[in-house]
Amino acid sequence: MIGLGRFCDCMKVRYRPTNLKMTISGQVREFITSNFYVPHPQALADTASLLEAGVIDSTGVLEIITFLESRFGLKVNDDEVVPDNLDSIERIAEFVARKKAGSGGV
Amino acid sequence: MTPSLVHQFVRHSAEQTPLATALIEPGREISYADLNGLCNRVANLLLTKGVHRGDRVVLALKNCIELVACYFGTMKAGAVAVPLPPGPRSDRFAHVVEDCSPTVCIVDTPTAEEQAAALCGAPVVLVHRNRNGSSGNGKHADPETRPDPVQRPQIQSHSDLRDALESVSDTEPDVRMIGSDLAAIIYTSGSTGAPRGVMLSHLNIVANTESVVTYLRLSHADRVMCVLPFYYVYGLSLLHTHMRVGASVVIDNRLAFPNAVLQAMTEYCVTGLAGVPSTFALLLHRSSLMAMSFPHLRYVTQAGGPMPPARIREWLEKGPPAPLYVMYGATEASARLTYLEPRELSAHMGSIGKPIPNVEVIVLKEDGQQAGPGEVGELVARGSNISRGYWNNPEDTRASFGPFGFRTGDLGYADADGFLYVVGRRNDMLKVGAHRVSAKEIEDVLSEHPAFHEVAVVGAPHDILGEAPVAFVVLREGQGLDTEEVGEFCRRRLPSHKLPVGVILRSEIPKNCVGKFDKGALRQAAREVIRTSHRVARTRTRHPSDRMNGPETTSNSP
Repeated sequence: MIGLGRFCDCMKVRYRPTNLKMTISGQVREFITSNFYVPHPQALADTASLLEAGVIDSTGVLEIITFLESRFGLKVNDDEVVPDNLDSIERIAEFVARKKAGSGGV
Repeated sequence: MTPSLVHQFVRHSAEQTPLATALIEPGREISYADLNGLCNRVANLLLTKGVHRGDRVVLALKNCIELVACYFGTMKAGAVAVPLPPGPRSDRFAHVVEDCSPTVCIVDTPTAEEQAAALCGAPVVLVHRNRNGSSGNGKHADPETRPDPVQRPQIQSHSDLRDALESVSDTEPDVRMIGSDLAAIIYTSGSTGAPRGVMLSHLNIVANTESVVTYLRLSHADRVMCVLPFYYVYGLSLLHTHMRVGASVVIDNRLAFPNAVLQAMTEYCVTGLAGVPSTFALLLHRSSLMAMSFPHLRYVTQAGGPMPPARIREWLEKGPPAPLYVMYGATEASARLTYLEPRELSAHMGSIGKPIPNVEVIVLKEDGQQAGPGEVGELVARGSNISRGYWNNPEDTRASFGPFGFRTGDLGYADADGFLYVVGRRNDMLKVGAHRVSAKEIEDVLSEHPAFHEVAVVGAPHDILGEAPVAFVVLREGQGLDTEEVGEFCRRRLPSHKLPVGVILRSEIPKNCVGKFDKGALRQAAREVIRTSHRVARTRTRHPSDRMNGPETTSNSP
């Protein structure tokens, strides 16, 4: 079976291999623009709300969490699943950086 | 005087409790007096734009105060509200605009940008900008990198909603209407694939609202958390019932972040919570629900498809102690048909309860006879809340609205005590989250893929959504498959709730004796493959850039 990049529990998320030399922000951007419908990827600002822009919904957030956990070796706790940590490319990148530094989410 | 027209809910509450809070958004709220004034402005604006009694007004905005004002304001102008999902991925937008030929479309910025081709045919387009004035892609998007506007269709002319509302009066317009006039058309998936517009009169909605208010014992002291969109009849029902009694509706579009919603529930002392099965799955499994308390919560309602008894028990065990009302309905019923009294829940787990006040539900066998206790048949409903049919669609109307009432398409039975149970669907529909989805509409889209010879879609169990689409595909001879390309193909054509969670390659699709897909066998096969993929996922990781050629060996077993 081919998972189409929606649900993380029972299907493998389909994402393009990320360039390990890219910044965290670049990798997150690549994942989002490759796996969600973004009509004009170049116009999606790092600071734009992914929810407000209609890029993600509740299952989309779960996909992003699965990506972050597998790509960066993190564990995203339920209480960290808040807009301040995950609602824009910039916020996600900052969240990942904080987690990797061991200081946790917001 | 008791309201007999839907928009009178707001005016009535504005007269009774003008300063009471009608709507709350995070960081913003509006009183009934101000909301009524805003509705009047919308109505007066529409009248100046040439809207007449019975004209359609399309509303494609995310839940917000302005959407509510436009919804009731449309009715105050004597017109018919047609709420639609906003945004670039609304696959039904163009069809609906063509089908209902609106006089005015009120849309948000992303919809105006991405649905411009469909909007070109509308005489008047009003655009509601987000509060921060941004486009959907964010206020900091670099104008240098914005796509060249000349490359896309442009709406002939449009006005800014907020500016336009400033220029009109907030006094109540004098438009004579009666209860049998249409109040709204709600588009829903038909079994043939094309969306169809359910016509709801003022009488339909008012009757259903009064019934729901009665059994939920709603009052002006209530404050409901609304995470359900207003283009969906359950979301609209929350709006109708709480506006009717002068209660408050807390609008929160952040269910993707369940903790943010729970936080808002405590902050605003919410007394009511309404959800579909996927709402409860998210709250139970992806939030800090159990670490929080909700001392003001008085009732919880669940509708939008069957919630498995195991999930209901889990909610009763781990969720707040407020009573849970399991409910059942249909868009064609203005929302609600039955409910289960919370005190009966444990004794009748899995039941959808009994008909609400002023509604009758019978179980009809295929031979047209009424079924006895325990006998399975189709649930058929009658009542003042039942729609008169589908807009522009006499064929489907005849098929669904018969001499015994509205045929729900749900198969079920009543036990000896009259408690109703749903056991399946008469037609080929899926219930994904709260969305009713036709398998055929997904099959039609996937069939456009040049590599696909044959496509069959069925529903498979899903942890969060309850049910999700899975596609069985036979490739054309000599064709391989690029999984990323298929993903992109689907994402560009289908909204997220219609995206198949997986594609299963087969050398042939099983068919019944008349050559139709054997959907029963396919559902069983899908369940089997998903169970297997759970095991596989734990033991190996397929490289993301794998390309598949021909039928996949692991999915050829039945």
